[in-house]
Amino acid sequence: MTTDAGTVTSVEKIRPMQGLGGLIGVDLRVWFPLRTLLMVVVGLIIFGAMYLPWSAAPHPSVDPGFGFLFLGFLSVWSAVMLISAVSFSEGAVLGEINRGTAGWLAAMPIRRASVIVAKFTSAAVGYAVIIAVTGTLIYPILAGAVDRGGTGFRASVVGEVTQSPVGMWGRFANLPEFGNYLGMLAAIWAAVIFVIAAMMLLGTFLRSRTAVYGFGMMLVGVIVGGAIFGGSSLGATPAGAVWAVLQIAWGNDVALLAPIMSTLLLSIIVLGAAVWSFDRRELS
Amino acid sequence: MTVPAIEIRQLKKRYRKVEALRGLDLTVDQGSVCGFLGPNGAGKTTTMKILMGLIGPTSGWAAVHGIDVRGSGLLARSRIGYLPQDPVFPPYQTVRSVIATVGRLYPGHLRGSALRRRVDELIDRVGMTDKARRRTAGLSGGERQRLGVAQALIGEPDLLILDEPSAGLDPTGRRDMLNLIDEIRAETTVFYSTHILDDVERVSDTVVMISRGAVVAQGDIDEILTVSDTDYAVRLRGDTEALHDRLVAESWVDKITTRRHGDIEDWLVRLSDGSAADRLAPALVESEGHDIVEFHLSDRGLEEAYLALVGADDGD
Repeated sequence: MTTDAGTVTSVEKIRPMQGLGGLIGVDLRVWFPLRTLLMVVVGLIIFGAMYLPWSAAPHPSVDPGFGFLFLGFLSVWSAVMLISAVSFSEGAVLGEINRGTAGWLAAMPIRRASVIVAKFTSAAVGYAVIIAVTGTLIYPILAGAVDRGGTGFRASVVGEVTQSPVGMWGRFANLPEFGNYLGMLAAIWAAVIFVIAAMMLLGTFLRSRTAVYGFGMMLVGVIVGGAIFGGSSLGATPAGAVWAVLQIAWGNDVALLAPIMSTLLLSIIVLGAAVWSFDRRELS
Repeated sequence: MTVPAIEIRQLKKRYRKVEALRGLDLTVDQGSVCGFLGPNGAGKTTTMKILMGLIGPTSGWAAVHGIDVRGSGLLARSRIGYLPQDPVFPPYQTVRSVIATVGRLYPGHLRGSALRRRVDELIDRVGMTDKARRRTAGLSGGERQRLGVAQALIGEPDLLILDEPSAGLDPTGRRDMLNLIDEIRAETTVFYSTHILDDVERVSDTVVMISRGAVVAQGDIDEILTVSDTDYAVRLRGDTEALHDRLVAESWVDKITTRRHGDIEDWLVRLSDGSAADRLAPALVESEGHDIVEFHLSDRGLEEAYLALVGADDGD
């Protein structure tokens, strides 16, 4: 191309998301350092050794009210995950901008979109693992609650079929229906992902981390409040996804796929806005 | 004709009420070591940030190896290694992992053992072998500068942009940094900003001097230091105020730059043309209240050249 200023080469020969893999690798190492992974494995083994024999015991030794107690925990778990997502991601973009590491990365031969997408992807993977691990820990507790009749969570068909051959582990005949359980975890994950995308967007145009944190907490308040008070009318929103989680925990039959998919789609739209905004921000 | 390593035309940048760059024009040839000199706030860092795509210009045009830094920033940056003014790195990463990470961001980068070898070679080159496994959070300012140079070199760039590379270094660190720049000159073009005039004289082939957002001089360092028949050095003792006032009022005097050390005052007098020297000498002698200690055609060093061109102005 020729301009008044001279001859300019403007042909891009570099892949659109050049460097994204490397950035995701770096961000994932922040989420999962080897020492943390070892601690999780050891923690799971200790938890299993302590809890599973109790859960499989032939005679109930815990009051059925335990089931309701657990449901209370399950109800707030979504909110806890959303709040932790706010705490984790309030500095994900703005913290890097203020520290100068965002500018350091933006000076590399990568698109700024790669920085945002890498952070989002690693957070999505990180929370998927956290929710999966926590869900695994909760599952046997839930089994105990189901077994003692303290919850309306539906029994597993698979558990009934496998009752006879597993001997003493037949106590798990009333395992929570696994499809619903996984769906519940996925809905919590989708809502968390939406919050992280929103936090990243806030971080690209606000100047204060306190403001980002404050708006994030407001967003969680709106989602949880919507889930509690909005009911089924919020089905295709993040609040609707959290509402569906609570309904399933209480044994009601609701569709999970629609709120999960719509929340993920909203997250991608918000992430696109974050990329657009970050692309225009001046960095030091 | 060889495409310049850096070409900037009429570059302007305004931050709300502050005009940081006012139509900057500069050219840096390939293979040169170019010192970018100017007082605080002159626009050096702003220029470098525009080249790196960190900020956008208000108007004007900048290119690296003929590649427009706005339209094709990604391609331009793939040919640049950059050391920011106050380099910061992810605190949880080690020296080795920072360099390897940056290496993986360049298109067509080295992989596996080849990348590891290159990382080790650069760590050795900047003298950080014993700190290769240390986290960046524990590095001193000088160590971060050296790491900054190493990560800037990992992509084997055609152009190295260093923003104040020797700022904040102790004398040994400064010497090492200059030696490193001297070594690198065979591999790449180096464009670096600094306040330290001795550094520029020691390692630069060319100099760009900037003041208040515009270039006041650029060229080979020998040209900049060349004696001009219009610049005279005058050293006076005593009361010089009356003489100063009288001379600055003369039409044949362009500018007088002054510096006082105790009762001695050094002047660099720039005349409108060489023939005006015939008027300067009598004017100095005729005036009373001072002794003339020295009077000669200026054999200026870079400092005198800088003061003459930029003045005692510390910018904005």
